[in-house]
Amino acid sequence: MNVKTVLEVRDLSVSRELDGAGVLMDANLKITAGQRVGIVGESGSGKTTLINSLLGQLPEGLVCESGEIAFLGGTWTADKRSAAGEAMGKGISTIPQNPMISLNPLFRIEAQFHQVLSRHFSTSREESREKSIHLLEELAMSEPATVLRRYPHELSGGMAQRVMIALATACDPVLLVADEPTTGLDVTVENQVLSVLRKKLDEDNRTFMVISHDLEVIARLTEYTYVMYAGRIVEQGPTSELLEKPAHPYTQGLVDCLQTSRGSIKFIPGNLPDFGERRLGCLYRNRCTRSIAECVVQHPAHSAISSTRSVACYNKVGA
Amino acid sequence: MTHLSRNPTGAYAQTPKQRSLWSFLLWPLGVVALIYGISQLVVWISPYDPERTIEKSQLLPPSAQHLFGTDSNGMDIFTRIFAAIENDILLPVAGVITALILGTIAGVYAGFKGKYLDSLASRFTEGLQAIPLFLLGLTIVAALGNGATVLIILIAIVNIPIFFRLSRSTTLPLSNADFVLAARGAGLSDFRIITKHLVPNITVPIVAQFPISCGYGIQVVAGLSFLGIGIPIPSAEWGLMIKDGASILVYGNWWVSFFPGLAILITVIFFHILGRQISRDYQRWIAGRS
Amino acid sequence: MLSFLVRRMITATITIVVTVAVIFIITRKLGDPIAFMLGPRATPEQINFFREKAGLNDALGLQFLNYLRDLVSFDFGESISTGRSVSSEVLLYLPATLELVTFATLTGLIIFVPLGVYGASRRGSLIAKICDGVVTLGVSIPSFWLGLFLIFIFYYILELAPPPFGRVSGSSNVESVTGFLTIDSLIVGNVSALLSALSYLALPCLTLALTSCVPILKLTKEMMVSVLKSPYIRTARNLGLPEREVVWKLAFKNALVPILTLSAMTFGFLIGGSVLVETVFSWPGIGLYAVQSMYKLDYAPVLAVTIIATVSFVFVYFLVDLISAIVDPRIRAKS
Repeated sequence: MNVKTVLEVRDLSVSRELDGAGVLMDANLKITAGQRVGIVGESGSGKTTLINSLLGQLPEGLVCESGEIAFLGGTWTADKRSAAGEAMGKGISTIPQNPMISLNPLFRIEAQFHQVLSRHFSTSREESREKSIHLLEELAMSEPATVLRRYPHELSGGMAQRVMIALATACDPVLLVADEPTTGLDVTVENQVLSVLRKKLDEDNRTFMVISHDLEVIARLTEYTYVMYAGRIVEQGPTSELLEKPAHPYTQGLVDCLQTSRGSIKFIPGNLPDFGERRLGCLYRNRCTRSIAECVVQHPAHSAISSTRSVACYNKVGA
Repeated sequence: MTHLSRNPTGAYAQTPKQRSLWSFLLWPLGVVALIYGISQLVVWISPYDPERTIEKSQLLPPSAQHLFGTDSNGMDIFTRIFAAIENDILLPVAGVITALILGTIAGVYAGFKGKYLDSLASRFTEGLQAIPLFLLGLTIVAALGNGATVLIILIAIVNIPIFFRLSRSTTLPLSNADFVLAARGAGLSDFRIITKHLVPNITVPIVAQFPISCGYGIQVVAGLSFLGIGIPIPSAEWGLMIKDGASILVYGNWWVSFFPGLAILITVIFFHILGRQISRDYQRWIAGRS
Repeated sequence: MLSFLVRRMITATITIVVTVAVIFIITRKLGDPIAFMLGPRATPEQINFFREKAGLNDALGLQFLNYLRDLVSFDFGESISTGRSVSSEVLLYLPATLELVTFATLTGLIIFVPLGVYGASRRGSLIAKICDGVVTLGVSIPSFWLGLFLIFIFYYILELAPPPFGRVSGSSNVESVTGFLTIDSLIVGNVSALLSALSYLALPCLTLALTSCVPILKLTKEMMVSVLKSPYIRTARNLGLPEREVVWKLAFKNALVPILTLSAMTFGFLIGGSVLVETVFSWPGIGLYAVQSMYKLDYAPVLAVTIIATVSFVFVYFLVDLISAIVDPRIRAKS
């Protein structure tokens, strides 16, 4: 079955201008239409840089060393900010991490909806209002009419995030991206937001990408996952398979942390290597319980485990 | 008047070993002394007397003999410009230094002690700063007469609130900081705490404000003298010189007013750049230490 | 909202009282107030007589209260040179200053706000550098010198501007309604008078704008740069909104409050700060009135103008605080 590729990233490498330290190395990524993809990794894994590259919003001090991004029929490199930014803006919407500061504090919610809706669909104020009420209802927002009249600082975190989700989906983007969507929220609210988001994604059959350090979020929202560590993608595959039978020791570690039994908290000892130390060999070896001789020499290349899975490891779990 | 009220990177609890507030002030003070020295040298070398009128050379346009021309009294403008440095740079600087010392001490003390003293002083400075600058100048000259001393007093009065607020706003958040409580616990007297622990933290904004205040001070002296109520004739002073040339400007004698004004412009810009350089220097030094 | 208003009013009043106290102390204690009022040519008998009459032998506190009482009833004493009441003279001169200052602030806003927004949206470009240069220059240039040379260029060389004396050409006859010659001639429909008034306003306004309004440029640029970096602007761009709307509608509104505050403060500041420019252009405002009184050693007007200018400044500042609270709902919520 020929499924259309929405986004493809080929051999993308980004490094720091200052010292050439690698922030993102040889990233390869593909998202097909309707697919829900997750990228999981700790802070410093490079996942934010990946997003920024996609959006053409690489911060000052980072340069794209190689690789390209293909989206909506166009191809470019990550540092062509304006070109990327323009095209991206037309097809990608983001749900940011902190919704409270991502809404313009001086405009009421209904005005912010109208700005977006009138731009994309040339709606009148009344039409915008109706449409936004409908969108908010789909996200299980109680009393949407009241919420619309409010200012951002009058909303709770969960409400603000749902507003952001509504705004992002209102544009009917080709690709919806969520950057740590529930990190700033309380656990109970998180549950609610994840539910409504998943429901909306299913209803719209939306092509979706979520970035998170929390496997729980990934588990609930995605069908395919990329695991990142220290700037590289170390494993990828269908989410359910990854969670049940992880191949990379790091993924195994993450899954273990997820399933903590009462009484003992599992964690992965050690820290991400500093930028300056990212050179030869597998970057995970210092924290890996399964490291062997080959791990020191060179970072492992990806090898396919099945038609949908691949992993970069010399000593896979279960091998 | 612009205020700089950023806290320096990381308030620190010990006196910096090598350099102190004074060493950073030495820089601009040294520059001022150098400029004064040069001005005196130029006046000494010059064949013209800056305060003696010469018949028959009135209103000569710029030439090889008179680089900037002469004024309506026949005096060489080039020489007078340099002679005026005494009034136009030294005087404001003296006023600003006075304000710096008094204002900073008061501000640190108020920020440290807090409560009524602080509120009182703050309301007072707010009131003082609401008075328009030149009108305050007129009032003070009316009350005290004109002349150099009065001008210094005026500049000091105008700048004390600035330094007060600057040092107060920097000291206030620190007055309850841990290292202060620790110092108290160790039995240090208030005076010790202030001088050894709090003063180093105000260095950056104070030192950066100093040249800016000097720049404004120059404008005040020149402006008041232009109005005729600052430095009295026949002293050489840029504002006075501009005034001399003002009435004859519309007859084409542009050089009489032009060069003194240019001198003011260049000097004030110079002080602003100096101020920027000092704060950059200091930021770099702080970054280097930590 | 009401409590906010009340609190701000109290602060404003305290500031005014403090200011008047300061001026009072300067004039009563630092110099001899009678000599101050009568000038140096008064005889000892005159001085003694007026000392008694002015109640200077009373306690200082009582003097201050009397002084305040006079102020509140707008009694600023009499002008030695003209014999008329100072308050009536101030009323004659005030409209000229207000007109000048209004137009100067507006000119500054019109020139500098768009320039600042433009400079912020194209960082590091030539425009941005020009902005920085203009700010430094504007702050450093002596206003009276600039005024003189604008006269030199536009009146003497180019013969475009009218002679630097007065507000309107002698031949125009305008009925004074508001005191604003521009508005008055507009009301009557006297176009030539309006044009004449504007031509006389041009150079002094430009001088004031270029020297006192440049902080508006600096602030606009800094605020816009900061706002354009914020997360909600990033969101707006991500949601596909065009750059023009992002900069001018969404970002600018967030920068508005500080810009407005500064503009109003500039306006209030200029009321007392136009002294030099009024002198250069012989503009018949309160600044010129004060300076000329100084020359005549007539000090009561100087005092009156100082107090009035200060009170205006504080009042304007208070008004703007109020408006800021309306524009930004967070300010209301915070207090």
